[in-house]
Amino acid sequence: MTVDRLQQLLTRVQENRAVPRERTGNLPPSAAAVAVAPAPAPAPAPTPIAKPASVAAAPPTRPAAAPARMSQPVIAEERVNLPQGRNMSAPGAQPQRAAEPARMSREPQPPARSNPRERDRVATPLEMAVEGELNRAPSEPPTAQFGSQSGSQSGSKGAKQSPASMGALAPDAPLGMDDLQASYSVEAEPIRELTRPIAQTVSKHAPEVDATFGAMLRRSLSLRPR
Amino acid sequence: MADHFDPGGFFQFDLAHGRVRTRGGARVIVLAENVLAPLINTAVQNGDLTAIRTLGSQLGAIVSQSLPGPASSLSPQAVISHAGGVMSLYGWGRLKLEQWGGALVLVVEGLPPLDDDNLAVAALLGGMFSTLCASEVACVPIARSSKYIMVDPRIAEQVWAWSKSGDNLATIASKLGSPEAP
Repeated sequence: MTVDRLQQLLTRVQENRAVPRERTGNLPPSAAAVAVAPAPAPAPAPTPIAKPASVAAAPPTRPAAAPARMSQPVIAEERVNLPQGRNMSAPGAQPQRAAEPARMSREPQPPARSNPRERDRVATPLEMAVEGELNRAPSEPPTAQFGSQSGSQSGSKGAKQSPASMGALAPDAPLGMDDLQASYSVEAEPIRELTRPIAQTVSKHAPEVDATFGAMLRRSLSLRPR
Repeated sequence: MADHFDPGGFFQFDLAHGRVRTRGGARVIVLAENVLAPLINTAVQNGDLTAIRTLGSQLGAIVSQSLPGPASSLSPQAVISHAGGVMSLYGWGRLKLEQWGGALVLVVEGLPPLDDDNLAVAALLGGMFSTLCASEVACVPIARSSKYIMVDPRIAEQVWAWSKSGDNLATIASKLGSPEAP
């Protein structure tokens, strides 16, 4: 009886020792953190927030073409809503931005990927940021991170933005490329050459008879003591 | 003719013969002011300033030749510009013109001290403007000033008496009036 009781106790102790090891030791650390932390918000998808799922069906060159641009909601959304197969550089592609297509056509296009698996894969924000910095020219300074505006201009245009003009922009305003250009491209109109003098003499009469030296001298010589 | 007197090349120095001539050909002699002052004082004491008035007439002729027309038909500024240029060229100071009521007043600044009553300069100005305007003009010096009032020679003694008695220019001008005025 005693031996059986002892064996039962020993068995239970061994079982108790084995149970915590299975619950904590076999689970991954992230799972343990989820169990301890309060209920989180809906877990972020691996794809960026500004990039809906439909982006995956977008042309494969877009994520690598403007990696920082993807962090700007308005611009990204407009491009995402474009119908498939529509030419981005065509003037009629974006009727609300008449000057943008020409500017976009001047942007350097990255080499197209040939691997279909890579084409379908969506780059994570970290990959896009690293790729954007790697694509930057060595002579260009690092692009300033300014909320969602930092990626609105890719390449050298974003690097040329002055800090003063960047500070004048509202961080939350959905500004496009035209707005950033206008902040430092305003110039005063040159002064036109005058066609006639500012002051003009309207009368060139000869001095009156009484104002001549002879008349004045005659008056002076005609003076007599009162 | 220019608006201002052109002094360029006015004097010709003939060093070989020791002569100095003006543009018109008249021979002149350069004198130091401390030599001229005793001569002028002697003339004043003798009451004969004819030589100084003759010099003024010569200057007036030079001015008249440089003017674009008769002095009586020109503006006061043109006449005084040319007359002042000739006076400066001869070293007789800087000439200006003022008007006090109806009286014309000449101002000569920068003159060396010649005589106490400035009668020599008055004779010079009288001779110059008489020739320039083809009319007899008396320039009466105002005491303790460098101003000369231009009046008819017939009242010059009266004006000079007022000035010697201590009347300033404003008082003298107020004592003078046009006979046509009420």
